[in-house]
Parts: sequence; C-alpha cells; structure tokens
Amino acid sequence: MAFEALTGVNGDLITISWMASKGANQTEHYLKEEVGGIVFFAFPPSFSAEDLFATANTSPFGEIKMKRNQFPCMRSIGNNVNATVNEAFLKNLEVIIGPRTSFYASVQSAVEREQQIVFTGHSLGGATAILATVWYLETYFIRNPNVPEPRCVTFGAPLVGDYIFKHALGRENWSRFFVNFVTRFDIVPRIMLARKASIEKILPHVLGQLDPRRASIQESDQIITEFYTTVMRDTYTVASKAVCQLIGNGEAFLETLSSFLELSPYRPVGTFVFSTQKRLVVVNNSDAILQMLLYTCQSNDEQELSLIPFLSIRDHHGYEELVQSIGIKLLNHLDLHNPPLDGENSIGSALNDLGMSTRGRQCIHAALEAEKQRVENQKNIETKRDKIVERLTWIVEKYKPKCQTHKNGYYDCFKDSKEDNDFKANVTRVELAGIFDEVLGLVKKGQLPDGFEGSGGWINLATQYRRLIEPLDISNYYRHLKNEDTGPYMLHGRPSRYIYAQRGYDSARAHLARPAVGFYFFGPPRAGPFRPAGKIHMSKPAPQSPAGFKRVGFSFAGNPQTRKPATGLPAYIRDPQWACPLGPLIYGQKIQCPSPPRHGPLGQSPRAIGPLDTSRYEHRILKPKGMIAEDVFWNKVNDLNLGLQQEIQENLKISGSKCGSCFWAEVEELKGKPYEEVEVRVKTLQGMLERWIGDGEVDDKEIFLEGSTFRKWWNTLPDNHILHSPLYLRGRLMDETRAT
Amino acid sequence: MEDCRFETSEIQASLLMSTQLFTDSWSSCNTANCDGRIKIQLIAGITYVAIQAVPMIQLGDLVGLPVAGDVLFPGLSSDEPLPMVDAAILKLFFQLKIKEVLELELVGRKLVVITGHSTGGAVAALTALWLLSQTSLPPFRVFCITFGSPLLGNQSLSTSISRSRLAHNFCHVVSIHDLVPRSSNEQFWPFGTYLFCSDNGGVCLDNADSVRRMFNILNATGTPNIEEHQRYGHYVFTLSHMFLKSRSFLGGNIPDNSYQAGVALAVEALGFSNDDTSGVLVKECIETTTRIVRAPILRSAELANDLASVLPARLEIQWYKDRCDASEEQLGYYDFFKRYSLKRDYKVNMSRKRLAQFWDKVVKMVETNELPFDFHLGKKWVYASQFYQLLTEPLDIANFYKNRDIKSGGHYLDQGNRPKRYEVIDQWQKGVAKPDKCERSIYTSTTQDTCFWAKLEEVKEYLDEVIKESSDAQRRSLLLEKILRFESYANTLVKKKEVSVDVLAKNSSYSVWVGNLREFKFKMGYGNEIEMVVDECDAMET
Repeated sequence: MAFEALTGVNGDLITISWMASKGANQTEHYLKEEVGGIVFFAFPPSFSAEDLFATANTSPFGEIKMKRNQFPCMRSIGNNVNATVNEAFLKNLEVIIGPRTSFYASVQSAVEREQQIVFTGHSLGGATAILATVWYLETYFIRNPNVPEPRCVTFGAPLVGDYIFKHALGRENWSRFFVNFVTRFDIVPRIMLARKASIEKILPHVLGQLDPRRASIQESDQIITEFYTTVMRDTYTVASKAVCQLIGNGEAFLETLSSFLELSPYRPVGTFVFSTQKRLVVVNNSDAILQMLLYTCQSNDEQELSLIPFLSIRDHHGYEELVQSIGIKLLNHLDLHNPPLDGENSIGSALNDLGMSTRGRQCIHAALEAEKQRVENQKNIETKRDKIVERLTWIVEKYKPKCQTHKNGYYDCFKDSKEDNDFKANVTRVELAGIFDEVLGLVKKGQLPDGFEGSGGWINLATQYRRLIEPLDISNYYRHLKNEDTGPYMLHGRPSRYIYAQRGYDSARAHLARPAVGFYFFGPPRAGPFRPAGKIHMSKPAPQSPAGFKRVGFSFAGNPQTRKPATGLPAYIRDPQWACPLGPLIYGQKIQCPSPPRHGPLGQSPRAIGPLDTSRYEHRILKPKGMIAEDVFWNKVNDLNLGLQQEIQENLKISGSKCGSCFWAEVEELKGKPYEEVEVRVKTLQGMLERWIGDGEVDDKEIFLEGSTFRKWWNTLPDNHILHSPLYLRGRLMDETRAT
Repeated sequence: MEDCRFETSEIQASLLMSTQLFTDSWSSCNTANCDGRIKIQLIAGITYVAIQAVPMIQLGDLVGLPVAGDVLFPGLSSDEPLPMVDAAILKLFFQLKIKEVLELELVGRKLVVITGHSTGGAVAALTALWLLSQTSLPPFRVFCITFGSPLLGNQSLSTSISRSRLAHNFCHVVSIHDLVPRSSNEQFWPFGTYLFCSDNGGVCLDNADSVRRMFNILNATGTPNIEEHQRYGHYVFTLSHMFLKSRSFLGGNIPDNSYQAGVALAVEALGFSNDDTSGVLVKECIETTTRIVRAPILRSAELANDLASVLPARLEIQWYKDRCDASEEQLGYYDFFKRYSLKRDYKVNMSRKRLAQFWDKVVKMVETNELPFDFHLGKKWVYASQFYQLLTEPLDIANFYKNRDIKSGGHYLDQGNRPKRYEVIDQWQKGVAKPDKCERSIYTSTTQDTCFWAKLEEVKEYLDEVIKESSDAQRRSLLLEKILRFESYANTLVKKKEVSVDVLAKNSSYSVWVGNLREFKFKMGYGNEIEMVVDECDAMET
C-alpha cells in the first residue's frame, strides 16, 4: 500500500495503535498491548492545564532544555545547543519511566526479545509517545544495533519540541519513525504555538470541552471562539515569521520586530497526515507542516468562520472515523514534485479540500523550495571536496616530508616561513579556511539539510583538516605573536571552523554503534586519494593496548590494490574513507563497519554489508551513557592525580589540553612560563599526549624531531620532572647530553 | 541572475498586523490623543511610549539637524548635504520635554515601542531616532511604529538613517487614502518600512524610492479623503482580524509562478485590481522592491569563499614584507614599495588593488544592507578586516605619496584622501571589546597604528621646512611642536614594541628621519631640552 511506503506504517498498525490509545484512557500511566509480535505502548491523554504547562515553569511557552546526559543526541552538534521541549510533557515521561511504573521493565523485556515497539497516544498521550520514542532511541536503539526500529503513531498530539529537536531527529534519521495524524480543524496540534499568557485563563474550560469523557460540546461557546481566535493569531504570527525567514527578505526589520514578539519555539516533527472527508495528505517537511497547521484552519467566509471554533473542538474526537476510513480515502503526498500552487493536479484538489488559500499554497511552496535550496547548498559544497582532498594531500605528501628533512617538522618550518613552500602552505591554509568557513556559515544558519551534521564523510574530512591544518593556524598565530595582543590561542584565537569540526568528531565518537546516517549521502565509495596507510597494524592488537584495538597510522599514500591488507579486513572497507564514519581512524580486529542505514537517503541503496558484531566491543567503543568529550577529558585528568580538583579545574580553564589538535598552542603557552606556575598544565599535556598520538590527533613523527619547539621546550623542564615522565617520552625526547 | 521566487511584502505586513504589538500600539496612541499628553504604559513586558497628536501646527519647513558631535544626535552618520527635519516637529520635540521625561522613565526597560498618530507619529520617529543615535546604543530595544505620520525630514536624513543601519527600527502605518503622510514638498523623503493599508489588507515596502513611487501612484489615482486621517482605529481593528480569513484571489486566473502570485495578492491587498492601469503601476512598484537576488545569509557564506580567494593576495604582501625585512637594503616594505617599481613591486601592487577591490565591495554590501545586518560584528570579519588593514594600509600610503601631486601638497590624512574602507573598518574595530593587552616581547609583525607612515610623511615635510627656514618663525615653532609630538609618540610606540621591524630598519624613512632630526637638534643646540620632553613622557607612561 502506498500509504505504508510514505509513512512507514500500515493500516493494521494504525488501527491497533488507535485501539490501544483509546484503551489507554482508562489507565493511569500506560497500556501495553502485544499483537503479532509487535509491542504497543499507549499513553493516556490528560485534560488538565498543568499537564500542558508545568506549574513552576516561568518561560513563555512552558519550555525547558533537554538534559545532555539523558538525551545526548538531542542537540545541534555544531552550534552546541540542546533541544528544547515542553517541560510538562517531559515531566510526564519521567514519571512513566520512573520506578513508580512497570514501563521501564516492560520496554526492557521487549528489547531483550528484540521485538518491535510502537509508541502511541491520542492528544497529550501522543506528546508522551513522542518523548517516549526519543527516550527509547537514545537509551536502546543507538546503543545496540540489534534493537529494531521503533514507531511512534500519534493522533491529534500537540507539538513537543523546538527546531533543534526537529533538527536532531532529522540528523539521526529518526524523523521517519514518527507519524502524526491530524484532522483538519483539530485545535490541539496548534495549541503549543500560542503564548501561555494569552490562553492560560481560558485553557481549563477548553480542555474540559476537549475531554471525550465529558458531556457534549456546545455549538456556540463564546470562550471556545475566543480560544480559537487567540491560538490562530499566535499561529499566524509564528508561521508568517517562519516563512519570511525561509524566503530571507527584510531580515533586519524582521529581526527587530521579532525581538518584540514572543514566538513559540515549537516545531512539527516527523510525518504529518492531514485528513479531510475524502482524502489524506501526507507531508514530511516540518516547515511546510507548520504552514499547513495555519492555513488549513482559516475560513473562507463569515459563515464558516462562525463554525470553525466548534469544529476545532469536535475534530479532536474525529480520529476514530479517520482510522476506520484510511483504506478508502484518496492519498496525496505533498512535495516539490507536485507544485502546490496549481489547482488542477491531484495535490491541488487535495489542498482545495483542506481549504488552502492561494497565500497558503505559496507559503508551502516556499517551505518546500527552502528544503530544495538546502540540498542545493550541500551539492554546491560537495563539489569542493576534491579540492580539499587535493590540498590536504599536498600537505601530507609534499610539505610535511620536505619539512621533516629540516629536522624540525612542518609546525616549526611554517613558523619560520623561509621558503617558497611555506608560502604555498600558507596559501593552502587560507584556501581551505575559506571553504570550511563557507560550510560553517551554512551550518550555523541552518542552510544545509539536517543530515549534514551527522554525515560521516564530512566529519572525517573535517577531522583530517583539523588535525593537519590547525597546527599551521597555531603556528601562524604565534609567529605573529597574536597572543600578545589578542590573548592565548585557545581563548581568543581558535577559529570556529575547528571548534565545530571538533564537536562533530567528538559526537561521532560518542555513538559508533549506530552509523551516523548521512554517511552514504555523498554517494558510494569511490577511489580517492585517501587510503589506508602502508603502516597499518593489522596484526593482533598489542596486549598492553588499553582499549583493545589498535589505531592505524593514517596517510594518504598508496594504492588500494597493492596496499590491500592481507588480514581479514573485509573487502567492503576497501576505501574506508567513505565506508564508515570513523573507519580510517579506528580499526579493530572484530570491529567492522557498522550496519548501513536501512533507508539510503536520496534513494541510494546501501550496499550489502554483513551482520556485525560490535556487542563484544561495545563497552570499549561507546562512552558510558551520557559521556561527552568534556567528561572524557576530566576523567583522564583525574586519573593523573594532580591534586585538588577545584584548583586543577581553575588551572586548566583555558588549557589547550582539551583537544589534540591544539597541542601546539598549549606548548606555546607553556613555553615561556616558569615550571612551578604551570606544573599542572605540563603534566596534563603530557598525560594526554599518549592518547592523542594513539588517536591520530598528534603526529608523533613531527613532535619528536630534533628541532621541534616541543622537544626543545621539554628539555628545558626541571630534571626532577623529566625523571618522573612517562618512559616513552623520555626515550624519545631526552637529549643525548641529558641522558648521560 | 536568479529570481526572487517569493514575494513577502504582504506576508510581512500581515505578520505585523497579526501581532499584539500592532493593536497595543494603536490603543496607546488613542489614549495619548484622548488625554492630550504622552502616555507611557507597560503591556506584556513591552513599554509603550505614545506621543499625542498636536493639531494646528504648520508643517513643511525644513531645518538642519545638527549631527555628529552635537549632544542630540551624535551617532547619526553625517554626509553632505546636512540632514534636515521638519522645524515644527523638532520644536514640538523640545516643547513636549520628551528627552527629560524619557530619561527618567526608560531606566531598566528592556523593550520600548515609541508610537504616535499624525504629528505625534512624526515626533515619535524623531524620539526613536534620538534614542538610537546616541554614541552608545540604549540598553533596551527600540521599535517605532507610527500611524498616519507626516514625513519627518529630507533625503539626506533618510540616507543617513539607513547608512547608520537604523532604518529597520521604523515602521509607518499609512492608509492609502490618507493624504497627510504624503507631503507636497518634494524635499521630504521617507525612511524605514512603510505599511500601506486598505480595507483588504496591507503591504510592506522598505525602500525609500518605492515608497515615493507608491505615493505618486496614490496621488494620481486615489480619492483623497480628509476623514481618512482619523480612521486608523478602524483599520487597526479590521486588519488585526485578517488572519482568520484565507487570502485567495478575488478574480482572474492564478499566475502559476509563486512570485507573480504573491505580487498579484499584494496588489489586491491594497484594493487595486490586477487588470486596470493603476493596479499595473502598483504591481511594478512592488516588484522593484522585492526582487532581491540572493538571500543575505547565502551571500555572506559565499563571501567567506570570496575572501579566501583574495587571501593569497594578502599573503603575497606578507611575503613581500618579510622578504623586504630580510633584504640587504634594510629598507622595510613601505619604503621598498614607495621607491621601486620593479616586477615584484608591480605584482604586489596588483595584490594591493585586488584586496582594495574586495574590501570596497564588502563595505558597499554592508552599507546597502545586502548582508546580514549583524555581519560586521562577526569575529571572522572583524579579524580579517583588521589584518588586511594592518598589512596593506602602509602600502596604500606609500602608493599615495609615490604618486602625489607635489603642487597640491595634500596629505594622506587630509579629508577625502584616505580610502573610505579603512574608516569603515576602524568603525568595526570599535564595536569589538578589546582583550587586555599584555606586554610584548618582540616587535609586532605589523605596525599597530596603520596610519603611522602617513603621520611620518607629514612630519617629514615639516622637518624639511623647518630646516630650510623657509617660513616665518611662528609657523616654524608650530611645526616644531608637531614634530616633537610625533617623535615622542613614535618613541612610545617603539618602546611598547607596537611597531614592526620594518619601521626600525636601518634605512627606513623613519630611521632616516630620526637621524635628520637628531642632527638638526644637535645643530640648533637644544638637544637637551628635547630629550627632557621625551623623558617626561616616559615618566607618565610608567
């Protein structure tokens, strides 16, 4: 059935979901049903105002930021902002997953039996279902590849989260799990677009009317009319602002105006199915859905206007009819292939059924075009990939080796800048900066598809770029002594392009068990200049290697045919660059590339890849739940036992030791200072170094060279310090004279 | 060229009309008009300052608005000719003691809307302008919304408001039948966003030329109505309820292009028919304002790429500087560039020109609002422009003196000789908080005062003049004072290591000049006295 293809759920599943949602009305927390091996969790709606706006919450829309440790994926990676959700809904979820209910145990057992789960609910129960699904995705799905994909089916649910919530679900390719049914005039999906202050007073009365357990609805209810008008007014403001922003006109005026308005942060997520008497209209684009929520609820004339408030309540109870008639209704999919402006084609008549005006169609068209533009933007920067690769290759194959012959490495050579090659490297540096800054500008302003941030190919490329070129930027910074008028590199000098690249890398490391979805986005693997290095250690990991797997050195040289590793590297990682998110960075004997996404974006079919066995290594790859890069750093620092935690934290506030590619910046900062003053920082740097070399963040071929700033500085450290330094450092760094 | 595919003038208008801000502003105006005095009230976190309309005043006389330096509007950029405002409105502004009232009332406010009807609207606009054009921005956001306000000032006022990037704080609601907002005096000029409204809806235009054009169309076609000026209450009520109704075409076929459909809707919103001649004129008017080629966000992302493509030119100059510093002539890149025109210097000159072209383009784009409005605050651009200026302005100075018309005798720092881009970049730097300076251990890679060389060229001439004794004693002592002031200034810079090594190169203009000065002082025998001046300066330093 076409419907299933569009939404990922079939009629039976919807019917059972609806039955369960209805059944959940009688329960306090949730209802569990098991049909045909699928487990349904349905949540009951609530019709009390405090379940819509949490009592203690003072924000204008009852919103709250999600916690990073509980929902690590629900954020914008680059901009480093957590998603916002409705606090009352989140609290409700916390009660349900808490110890007072058996919900947690029920989910756990379904997970253990690898059963598919459907979360569902009507009205506010739907909001709970959405958050429960997110919780499930974060708790089980991302951590264990054997967990089946969940589904979330809601009926007339209010909006739950903000733009970042929607963005994060899009990036992880989770949006497809959510299907929301909306009858045309139902007010509930629109409620969260209104300001709390404007509807607070009349909300209890309206919720009373919405409650199906109450008596009949009055046809002419003044309060309902007022409520409808208020919600529509705010919806109109939000939707118009959104569409102006999409089109990008009058930015300054809009910006000023918006600062005087309270605009709802909530945005639709997942697929929406709008229903009229004859049709179902399926929409995936969040921006378009927002416009639909507004324009399907307007009226053509006075007579209709007087009826709609009543319909806006009645339609909230129209889902039984909707579910029963799914099979017999006409189906339309709203996307760019069917321009919405034209009244002639089938989508046009569907929009006629929904009462969409010319203005409404125009706005939807704008929303769809904006998505197309994002894809275009991405295509545009894709064309620069070859240039990036070519420049990086030059640095690795020509510049670095040339510098090494001077015995002081490219960091120091670049700092001296005596030869034409240094000039060329400098030009390369700024060319790459330009490309990455362009990408950054697009990422910051949300002008790329949601999936871009999670795409392995770019994370990899940006990581290589950061590791190779950031030392040059640092070198340039200290060559011109910018630290003396601008302050330390880490504090004032580090360009955002590296900060964003670092965040992308950190978050990709945080969940390796599931692939970042976008990694097939750029097309199938192809022969590129990046190949596994000649120095790959494919032998059994050395026993002392703490993580149980060995990193491979990373170089761009070689030919896949001749370099093809002899031992057990599965053929499909021939060009690991494109095959898995962090392929070339971490290899293990058993750790193979994660499974491909089941739905290749852009219609590309993922290549067949065998089942994978990461469970054995999972605890090694995955950081414990909620671990973020910052925590990893502090754990390591704590292991070093340097003294009072608070003092150390103060000491390391602006340290470059948080990130391997800033190694040189930290060395430069420590260089001129008395040892006593910076002892903690020196030890931290030293403590982190081995790990960085292991991860490929720092090139050990460079830093130990005779003429390197690092080596020279290290040898000026007090004897006592050097004697207590790790053996490998002493072995590789100590000058002949000191050793004797 | 890519078309703007969507038309937003009407969506913008409906957005504004659907807000509480719109209705609350009007009700404040209404109260102020009824009470006959300024009304200040707080509604939902926003402070509304409504200024009453004062009837029976004679409008139409322009008076110069003292800007830049004056206490009233210091922040407004002042280009020739002088910005002017209506004399009666300015008088009213003082009479109503608005300054005094607001200075007390607005303490601690976050969001301030200044509003007014009719003449009250014009005073409101002047008030908002006063708040926004102080040297430091007010600690609150300001939005000005007027109803049926007459025009406030001349074209120069309009351009300096948009040059100072303040235009987006103003919105003027104007009925298409109301005559008051259109002045018969051709010298008056609109600024800010205009919301033209009729019973059917509204349209926002933010380009002064289009607004004027619309005025002309309305003058030619409209049926002026004296009572219209009092009907804003009716419009606000009607328009603020438009959002409930769907906006479809009243007649004719739907254009299949979204942009055309949008324009057609906008024309209908103003109560014109798309078919008759005046409708066609209105349509053209809307089209010219809304046809923006690329969205500002995309443009600024592309600009990052453009920057990268001109950066090699900067590196080229950097490289040139380093080579000069290392060369045997010991001249420094400023003097090298000034003195020689070899192939290498020629190439550097090309790089200089390329960079100048790029930055001129950026500065122009910022001025014409083609870039995101907070563009110049972005760290990347602040730094990029600063590095550019530090490295390249000395070459521009060298180029200026290399090709200077000796007879005119003008200097680089004289009015109009320094390229405008540097002045704009200076402005940008001011907007950024400077980190604490710490002591330098070696000379900076570029001299921190980018006009150092220009200042040197001036005193160089002064010294020559003093040595030649060609002018009278009074002038000579004046020049000498200037010379000594520069000497101690330069000494301080050198001491703080804020100059680059090229300044101190053995044969650089500066070193030569310092030598000449010493010789001169020695000859004149008042060396000791001068040394003392410098010492004093040092003492003040430490």
